[in-house]
Amino acid sequence: MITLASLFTPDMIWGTFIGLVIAFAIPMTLVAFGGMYSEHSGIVNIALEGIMVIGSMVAVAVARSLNDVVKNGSLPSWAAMIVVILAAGIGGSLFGLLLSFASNALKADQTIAGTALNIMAPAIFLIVSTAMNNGIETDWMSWPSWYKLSPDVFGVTERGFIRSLTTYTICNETTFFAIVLIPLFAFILYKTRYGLRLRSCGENPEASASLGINVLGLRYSSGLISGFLAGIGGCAFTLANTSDVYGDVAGLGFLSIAVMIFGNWNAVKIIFAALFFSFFKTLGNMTNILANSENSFLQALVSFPMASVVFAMLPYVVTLLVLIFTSKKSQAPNAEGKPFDVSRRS
Amino acid sequence: MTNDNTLPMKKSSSFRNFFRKPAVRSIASSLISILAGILVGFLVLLCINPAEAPSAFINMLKFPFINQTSIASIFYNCAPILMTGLAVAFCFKAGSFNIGGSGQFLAGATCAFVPAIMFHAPWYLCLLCAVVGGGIVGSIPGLLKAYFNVNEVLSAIMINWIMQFSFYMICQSNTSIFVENGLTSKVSNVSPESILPTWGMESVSSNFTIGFFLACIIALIISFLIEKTTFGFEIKACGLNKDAAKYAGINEKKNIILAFTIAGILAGIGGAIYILMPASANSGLDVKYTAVPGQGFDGISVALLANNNPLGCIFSAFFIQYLTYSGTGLGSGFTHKVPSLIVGIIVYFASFVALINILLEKGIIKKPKKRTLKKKEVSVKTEEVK
Amino acid sequence: MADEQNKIKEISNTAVSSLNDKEENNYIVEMLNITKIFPGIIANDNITLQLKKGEIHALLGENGAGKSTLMSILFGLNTPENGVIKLNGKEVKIKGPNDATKLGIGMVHQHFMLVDCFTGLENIILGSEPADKLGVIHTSKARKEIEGLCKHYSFNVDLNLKIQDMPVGMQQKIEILKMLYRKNDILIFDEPTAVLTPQEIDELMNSFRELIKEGKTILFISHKLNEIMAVSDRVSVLRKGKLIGTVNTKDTDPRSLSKMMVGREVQLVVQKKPAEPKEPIFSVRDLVVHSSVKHKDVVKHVSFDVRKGEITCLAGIEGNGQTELIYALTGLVKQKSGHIFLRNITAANQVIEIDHYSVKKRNESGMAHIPEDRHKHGLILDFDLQSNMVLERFYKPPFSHYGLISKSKIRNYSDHIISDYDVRSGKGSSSSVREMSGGNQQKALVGREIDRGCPLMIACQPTRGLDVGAIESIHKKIVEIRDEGKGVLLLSLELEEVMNLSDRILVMYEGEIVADLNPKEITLDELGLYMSGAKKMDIKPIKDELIANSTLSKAIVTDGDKTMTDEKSSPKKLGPKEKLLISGLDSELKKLSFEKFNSQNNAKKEDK
Repeated sequence: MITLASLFTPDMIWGTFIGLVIAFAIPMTLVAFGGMYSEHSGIVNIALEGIMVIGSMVAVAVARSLNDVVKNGSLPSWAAMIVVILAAGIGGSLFGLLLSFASNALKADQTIAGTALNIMAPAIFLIVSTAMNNGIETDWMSWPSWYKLSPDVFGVTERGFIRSLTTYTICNETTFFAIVLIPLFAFILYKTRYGLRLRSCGENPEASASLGINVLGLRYSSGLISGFLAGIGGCAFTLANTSDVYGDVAGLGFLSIAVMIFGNWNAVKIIFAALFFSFFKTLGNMTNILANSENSFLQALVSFPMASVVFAMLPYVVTLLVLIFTSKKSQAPNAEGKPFDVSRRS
Repeated sequence: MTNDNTLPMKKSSSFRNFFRKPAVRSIASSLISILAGILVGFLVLLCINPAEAPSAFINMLKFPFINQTSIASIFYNCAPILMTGLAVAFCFKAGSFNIGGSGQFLAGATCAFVPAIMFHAPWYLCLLCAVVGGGIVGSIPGLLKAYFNVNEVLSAIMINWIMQFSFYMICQSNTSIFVENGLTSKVSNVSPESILPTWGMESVSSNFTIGFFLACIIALIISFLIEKTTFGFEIKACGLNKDAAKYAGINEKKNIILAFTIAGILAGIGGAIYILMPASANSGLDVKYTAVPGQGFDGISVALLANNNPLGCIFSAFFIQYLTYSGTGLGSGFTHKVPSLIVGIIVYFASFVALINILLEKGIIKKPKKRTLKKKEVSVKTEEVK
Repeated sequence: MADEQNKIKEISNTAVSSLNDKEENNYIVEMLNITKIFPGIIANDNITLQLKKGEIHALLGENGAGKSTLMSILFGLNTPENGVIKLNGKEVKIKGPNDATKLGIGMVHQHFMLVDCFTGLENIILGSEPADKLGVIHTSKARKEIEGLCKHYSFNVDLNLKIQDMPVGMQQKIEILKMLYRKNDILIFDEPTAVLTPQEIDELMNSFRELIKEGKTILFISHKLNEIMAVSDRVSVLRKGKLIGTVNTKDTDPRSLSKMMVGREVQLVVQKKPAEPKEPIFSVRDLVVHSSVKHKDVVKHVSFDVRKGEITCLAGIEGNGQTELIYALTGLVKQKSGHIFLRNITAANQVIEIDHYSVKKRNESGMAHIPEDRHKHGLILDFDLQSNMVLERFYKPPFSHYGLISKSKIRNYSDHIISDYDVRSGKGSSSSVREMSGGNQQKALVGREIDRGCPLMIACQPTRGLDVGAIESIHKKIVEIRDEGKGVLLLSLELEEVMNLSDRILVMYEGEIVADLNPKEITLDELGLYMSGAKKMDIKPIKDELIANSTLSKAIVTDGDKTMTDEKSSPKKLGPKEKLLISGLDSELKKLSFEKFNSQNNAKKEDK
């Protein structure tokens, strides 16, 4: 007989599992929100992948340059962490500005410009990481020690469910940001003047312009917000994924676009979509651990050949299926992808 | 003649007319994109190490031309991205962005690789398998778009990753024959008859297979197809206005599926050319699943730089390959990825090529003076209105 | 040169200001010596337009006359090269819609500036949202205010509906409310009745009168003479960028206005000899078409024949299923049930069932069609003109052999159409269609379809958006092919065209054919009654050998005989919608009758 107890016992494995699900869902949500803001204002943003890379790059670079200041105590580590994460956001904003500029001022093809950013980002990362390593070519950078929190800091010393859960959620500084940013930006989009005007720009920019709304200005500002959220998302992802930062987010940027579509460009639905996808991704990452665990349920889930690869592949397959079943009735913003020309002839 | 309110057109000199030709404008705008990219690349080098940057940069640009072998390597190595470039360009003509080049490339490579290793199949059979594999994988975004209205960019991205995972699983199923040091086994060691022949080019370089010439011929065929055939006419019509094409009786579903299938075949051949090279030509494919092959994205750069012109792709593929190769000539202290950055910047500039066209028009041709009204022009010639 | 120019400016300014001194208090808006130049064209050429407070002023002109440009300047969407705008005698600068709104000027565009997925309320407050310091929107006060406005002007509007779920008339009311909410006093309407049903037109005219009572001033652009005659106080006529004149409406008539607008005598009636219909060429039996957008059958068991040598017109108010019917006939949409036949095309008594034919096959079988929307369905704007001229035939000889295209043959053909159908373009056959004017695009499209020489022509709104001259020439061509013995199925929403061009009228109402009329034997009033559903003819469903022999015949359900509704004997219960439709149609028909009466009168005058 299968009881709840046999399915779920609050042990380390479950703690890690749930922790990782949340840890991946957070960057997916943030980045998907970034994409949502951009698309609601009418700009297709394929460059989320690249912005994530740049965001994580800026975060690590700033963290390392703050190393001395933190070590000698002139800046408390919690303040430094805030600076690092804000820097990631700002770095993402600035990089995303390239896309905004190309789309708004130069009327570029937004998908191509976005792809260009995706091509540039790993190259920029490599240049910076090499420079930070005194010219020795390296493709990774490591976080300084003070940045990596451990549950001990929060008083959770005993190994087990709570400790594992804490490691991936609370010990990731961006989680605190996410708790504030996600509801805040959802609220802004639906309940404020800015949000209403933003959405009108993506649906019918001519109508907005005729009401005196500054369409291009709004598109630029949403581009900044989009880059900000994606940059922080990139920073959040790298911490969850590996201990060092590589100039590569393994397709999570594109997965976040899928989350946005699955969530029908709606803030609340996106959060659920992110959790859903994160579930599968975590199964894929944790296959080996689960195979060796004592928990029979989890073990059964992963006991087939090449399970880790299958699970890693699963989010992409699921996304493809979701696309097939939902694309006929999609609620994409009407005017997305079309450049807005202020100087039309009436 | 009725009283008109149009203004007379200024007659321009033949020099200006030359730059008005669309072909000239698009080549000029590509050149401007390239210059912009190189300039920014140089600036980046300056930022890293101002002292050594100028000489390093010049060395980098000269590097590929040091000897015949190097120059030859640009030719035979640009064939794969020429094919993926054609794949992207052809789809653009049909009105879609083919971002799935990497997955299609991989499909072709896998379908050529497996028969070669396992059955020692001759090269033309391997190529044929690549055509089938690339075509099948390429057709999926087209089918999904035609029947389910799925955005082709997103489906293609998912397929890229799914293909990467599939490739990994195939290789892992028998690592002893397929994998060597984390890369695909060298086909030339296992099955020399599967390698593309050199047909006389070995005097230039032992790696110079017919791949490059095959790719050029295919580019010619594609160009002919688009411009001179009814099929090309249909493809262009669907790309420009799906609804009008449908109203005129053109089957837009069939055309988008065909466009993607052909794109898949093209990229697949690119993959086959890549994998069926002698051992010293390239290192093979990475057997892992954390990234997809970059040739698909290079293909996007190739197509954009060539303004989606199949014949232009030959030149842009050569150029991009040259640029990538030149990166290895950068000394220590600079990363060999600088050309990759340059390429990214070129693509960025190419994304707003329309604006560059307009700039060209305004720069070479003077902006018409703001017409102030002279008394004569405000003609008072009214007609009899009772 | 500059001195001369300045002198001219001085003189004209003093002239206008002296005018002002005399009638100082009357003009609320003055646009003086407005000149606007776009590359290659003078859109507005020294136009002076003066609006009196509290009047309804009409702006009349053909396509391309400069009316919309002038209004866009007043609303701030464009800035003039020359000229001055005055409000109540004071000079003002209007640099954008915000300036215009602040000055009390509002505009309703021809294509509504509404966000489809927002509600009515959201659209009204957009840009002027009631929000607190943080930017959070609070709608209750705004809602009350707007509901008050609705009550005051008797607007029947549901503020919580999304625009995409609203009928067009309600959407227009939302646009009007936008202006009223912003306390605009000068209201500009650009072709306001182009998209309305006759009932909605009447409601709008009533709204105009209410608004004037409240002290607003209305300026509306139109090219419909009957509306202008019915509701305006003064009319200004523009032609090719110049102001021809401003007249009081009561001092003029449609014929004079038309002359001012076009500059020459215009036939308001199509010259044609009586039709000589022969055997049927096209038959529809029991056709049912379902619309997934509207979730219902929009064409219900329609049966009719189109005969050779006759122009059959599908008439009716837009939205009663005509568009979907045409889509099914041409093959763009698959019908739910029913049959379509081509007959007597190449041999007598020949019957071809084309239910499952693709668009391509229907084209090849002898069906030509002019689509309603030329930009969407008719032409590929980024192709050159010559490629567009062979869109349906490029794969056949002589334009291509064995799959290879012959550019020279295509070019020759295109040149022939250009000369035969008077298509004007910058570079002839190699011009990009996008750069051609709408009228010339339509002429090219019509030319392409007529020149195919198909025995059946399905023409949808063939003269939409065209000026009177172009309309004349296209009507002529259609009559020509009719006289050659071809069958024409015409879909038209312009009652003039319906009455004058067609030989036989099939009225569609709510997806069914409710009348089969001879235009010479009915009056406009009767036509209107059928169009509004107040009257239905006894049309027995056709049961002939076509259905019996059809290979795909399913059990055909007939609705029993439709009894004739005579208002006197057994009055049909008219719902409120029908009543409004009738009353609206009545006034519309009255305007038409007036015009026809006038034209007949003038004809009589000339006879003497």
